[in-house]
Amino acid sequence: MSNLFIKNVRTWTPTGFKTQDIELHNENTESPLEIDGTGKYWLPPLVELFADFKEPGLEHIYSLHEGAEAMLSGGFGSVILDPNTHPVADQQEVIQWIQTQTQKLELDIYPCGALTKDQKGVHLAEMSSMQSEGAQFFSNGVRPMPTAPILRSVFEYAKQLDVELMVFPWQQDICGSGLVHEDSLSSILGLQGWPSAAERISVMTALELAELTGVKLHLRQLTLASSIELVERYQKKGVKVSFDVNPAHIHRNNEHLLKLDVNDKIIPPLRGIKDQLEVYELFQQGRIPILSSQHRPVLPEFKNEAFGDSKPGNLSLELCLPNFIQISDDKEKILNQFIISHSHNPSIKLGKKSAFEIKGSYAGFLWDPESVQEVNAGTFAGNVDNSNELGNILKWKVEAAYLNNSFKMPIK
Amino acid sequence: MSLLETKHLIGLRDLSYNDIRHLLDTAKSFREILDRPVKKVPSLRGLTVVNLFFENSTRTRISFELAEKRLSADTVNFSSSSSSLKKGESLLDTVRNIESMKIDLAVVRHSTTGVPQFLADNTNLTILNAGDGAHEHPTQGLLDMLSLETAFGDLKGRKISIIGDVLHSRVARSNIWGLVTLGADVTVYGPSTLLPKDISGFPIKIASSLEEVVRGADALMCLRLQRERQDKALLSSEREYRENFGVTASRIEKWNPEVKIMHPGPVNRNIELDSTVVDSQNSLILNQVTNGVAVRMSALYLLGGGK
Repeated sequence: MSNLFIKNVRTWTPTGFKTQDIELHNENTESPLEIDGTGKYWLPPLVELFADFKEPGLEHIYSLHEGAEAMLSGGFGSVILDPNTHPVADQQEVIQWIQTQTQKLELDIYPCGALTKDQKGVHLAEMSSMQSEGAQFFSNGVRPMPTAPILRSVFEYAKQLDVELMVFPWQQDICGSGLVHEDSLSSILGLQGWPSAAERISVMTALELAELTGVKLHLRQLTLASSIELVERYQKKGVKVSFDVNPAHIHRNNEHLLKLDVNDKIIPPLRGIKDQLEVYELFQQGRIPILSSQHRPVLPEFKNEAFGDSKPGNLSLELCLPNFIQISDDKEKILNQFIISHSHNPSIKLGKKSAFEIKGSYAGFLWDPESVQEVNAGTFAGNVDNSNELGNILKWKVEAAYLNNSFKMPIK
Repeated sequence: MSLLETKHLIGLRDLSYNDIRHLLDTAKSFREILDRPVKKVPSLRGLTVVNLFFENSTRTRISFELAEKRLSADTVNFSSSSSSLKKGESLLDTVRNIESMKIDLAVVRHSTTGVPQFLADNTNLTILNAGDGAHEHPTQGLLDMLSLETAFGDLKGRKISIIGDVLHSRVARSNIWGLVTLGADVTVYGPSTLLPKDISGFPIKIASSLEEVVRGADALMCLRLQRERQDKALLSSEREYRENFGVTASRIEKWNPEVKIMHPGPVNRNIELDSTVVDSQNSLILNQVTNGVAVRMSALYLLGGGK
């Protein structure tokens, strides 16, 4: 083991960026190594609360190893998995299997149990036995919320087990088969809309039941300022509720859908420009504590369809930071907000002592803001490339990672 | 190959005034040919057209087939019910296989919005949209405009009212875009459950009563009421629909006896339109059908670069 020095690197700290030297113990080499960090950034590993790695059962689409590769490439150290596996992660055997596989990896990959059996919203899943195998979080994934009576039972059971629920607030009976945000554009395209009211109704249902039961609730993928304000109102009342927003809803809107690009088909849908600007305003005010990009691989054959028939989903891990940072010219300000909401705050939710932590040890990523990449299929892990950044040129790339007391470079 | 500014005919929303004018003027020439004893011309000889109907259709399909035959194109038909799509082949693979058989132009109908554009973007075929989801049905819009021009001449300032299920109607959307491009004023009316949720993107007005929409119009375009809408709680009953939104003989007589009547067909007689109104002298409905062949000949001819 030898020491590794990264000299003169811009380093994120909870109080802002500082230019400093970083000293690390490096098990990869016997001789000291010094890297010139001038112009580069030393950032904590990012955290994603909503990632679909498909395994077990759907590894022909995507696997835990491919997910881990995507994480490293995009500077992520931790993810919470979607229970959308085959079989569904609704029983202890699946959680146990995922735990066994992910323990071999150098990253923090948290299994997430389903709320109901087979995610059908009818019978309670075996949350207690999944918890005993290490599942800390439970979710409906991208499936609709169960009906209110079932959701109440889920909340009551989760409260008793003292586990946190990650609920994606949407209800099939309100959203129907809506594919896009309901406004003039959905009317022009003749596509069934997903109205804003549907989100608020679902959020309200979940909030009222959280207040009634006292469960710890995290609401995923809110897209509207009005939904966020609802959550804030219940937080002030003492309800244990947090929420996240997808960066896509901060930097994109449904005007992109005019071209019917299937890679802009996501759940929940891209909203109108007014909604986007309102959410961006809240982000700038620091009122969006957690960002979650929803990494969702879709095989090309399911994207290579007309908009209405294609599967929703977008790859986010690899390009999350390079993509988001384009939103502002004040790079360090936006980067600081991004790190707080995509690393620091979600790390606290995961029970980490510091944002610079993976598997209980110090970890970090070295980013080069001037490194340029052309986004193509090779940018992504596995056999998927469902990204709306395909063909674009992006700056900011991970140059190296420090994980498990070892310095690893270069990253793909 | 195309004699238009556009390579494909996907919809009327993005079609230029010049292209619409070119399509309608050419259709008028073909309309005259259809009245001759010998209706066939050699304009598209050597061109192969496939009719890709992924959604059931009778009149539109027959109209396209007839138009292709009148232009001497070689035609082949595809039906999704007996295709390899049923065996799990993707839409794109199916169409690319058909394209490999050296097809030049595809007429596409599909229940999903965007399929014609998707095929235009992902194949080398020239695509003619014969209806996609609730999005557009450009040749229906054009044939309606041709019928209106035949009745009125210039459509600038003409008041056209569309009544019925605008929400699910690709016919209404194509008509709105095309008519407005030609300078007509379009007003719509129907049950609030069957109107688009947000009309701010359309250059149209919504009338507040049936009387208003009938009284002010030069022509009424009544849309077909699909009975399954009752199953989705979008409609209380056909009786009540007729009561509140039906264009009856007595209403026409009382409010606007000269108004022209149109319908894309098939008509539910005595629901959206009284039978006597359908068969009245004011009705342009059968003209629409005849004009449909002429408009489709025009679209095929211009897209196919006919001579």
